[in-house]
Amino acid sequence: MIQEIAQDDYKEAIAATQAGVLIVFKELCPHCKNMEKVMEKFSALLPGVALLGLDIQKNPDAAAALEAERAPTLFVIKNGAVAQKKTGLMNPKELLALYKAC
Amino acid sequence: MKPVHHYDCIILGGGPAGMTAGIYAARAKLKAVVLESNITGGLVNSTYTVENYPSYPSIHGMELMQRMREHLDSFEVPVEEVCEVERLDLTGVVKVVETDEAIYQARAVILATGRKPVPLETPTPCDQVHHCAICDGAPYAGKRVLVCGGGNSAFDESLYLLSLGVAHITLIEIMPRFFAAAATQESLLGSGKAEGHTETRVVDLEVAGDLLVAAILENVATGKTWREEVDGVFVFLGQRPSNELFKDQVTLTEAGYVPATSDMSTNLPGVFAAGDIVDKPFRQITTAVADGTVAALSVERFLRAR
Repeated sequence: MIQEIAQDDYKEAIAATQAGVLIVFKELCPHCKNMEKVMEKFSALLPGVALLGLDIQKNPDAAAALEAERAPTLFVIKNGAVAQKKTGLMNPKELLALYKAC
Repeated sequence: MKPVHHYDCIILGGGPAGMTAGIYAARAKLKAVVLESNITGGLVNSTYTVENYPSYPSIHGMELMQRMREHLDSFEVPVEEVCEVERLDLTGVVKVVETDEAIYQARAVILATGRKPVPLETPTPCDQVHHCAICDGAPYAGKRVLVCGGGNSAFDESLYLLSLGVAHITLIEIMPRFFAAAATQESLLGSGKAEGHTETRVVDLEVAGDLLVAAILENVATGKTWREEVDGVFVFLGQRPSNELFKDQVTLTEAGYVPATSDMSTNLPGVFAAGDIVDKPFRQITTAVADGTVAALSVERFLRAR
């Protein structure tokens, strides 16, 4: 289950996340919907990793601060900080490899 | 060890054809499953506005597909999304589909894998090449973009890009004329913010650092080339049939489509086809829905006869 975060709490949410994946998404974006499903399957492969979501249209300043211009953009979060960023599509195994690589 | 699931019918693909087949299969009391490599909805999900699906004069493609999905879900047909098919055996009486997570077996299969967009192939790779205006259009407000393609998608998506505030669009088509509906062509080319070139193709892209700065275009009739300053490229060059999974098992046309009969059967007993993967003159949501209907009813007839 992806927990949606917003402009006014995204910094705190990231800082409070020891292990997580954040998707910067856009409503009505098919690739974002795809990646949300990929994140759910990734979560089944690696339980305990928090799944976060930030709507780029509702939260443009936060997205800009994260340097997320396109949707979907994914961030691996470890120990309360962004450890990796990747834009575009991945399958669950690729997301798992990206997560484990950092 | 992967779990093995037994069904009456496996539907490969969750676009309009596959979802409709699922609805009809469920109503026929067949045990069916839909396996989709992406999310359900297919190419319609990337369509900004659908205006030719009866009962919805105008609706966003993803919203229409969400409603179709809700209808399918109301029959409790299992749907596996982001599902990677690793092995497909259609030749036996029992068909086998192995995915990354499970093995599915059934006496009937409906191929509804649709098509995928043709990519733009240029010598220089570039991050500013896109295939979805809805997804990637917003950052180009106030900027100049190149749109590749002269069909309805290219023109419709160009109008959407203008609505996002794109400053100027250069639209190119390699054929001698544009193929989009006349009214749509007039809307775009009469906007004062777009120009169109036929018999034109992209030769290369010019990148500075990580950013696109220009496209090198060529008039294929005269051989003349020129440099067009653009910040992004949106590609709508049509689609190719998604037949990789079964191209060695099912008879295909030279173009890679399934030459299904009127009951949507293929050359293999128990294997049916529906939607954009079928060899046919018109590929519309409505024709995909019709194919899905016929394919599911044919599966029912095929299974009941045994």
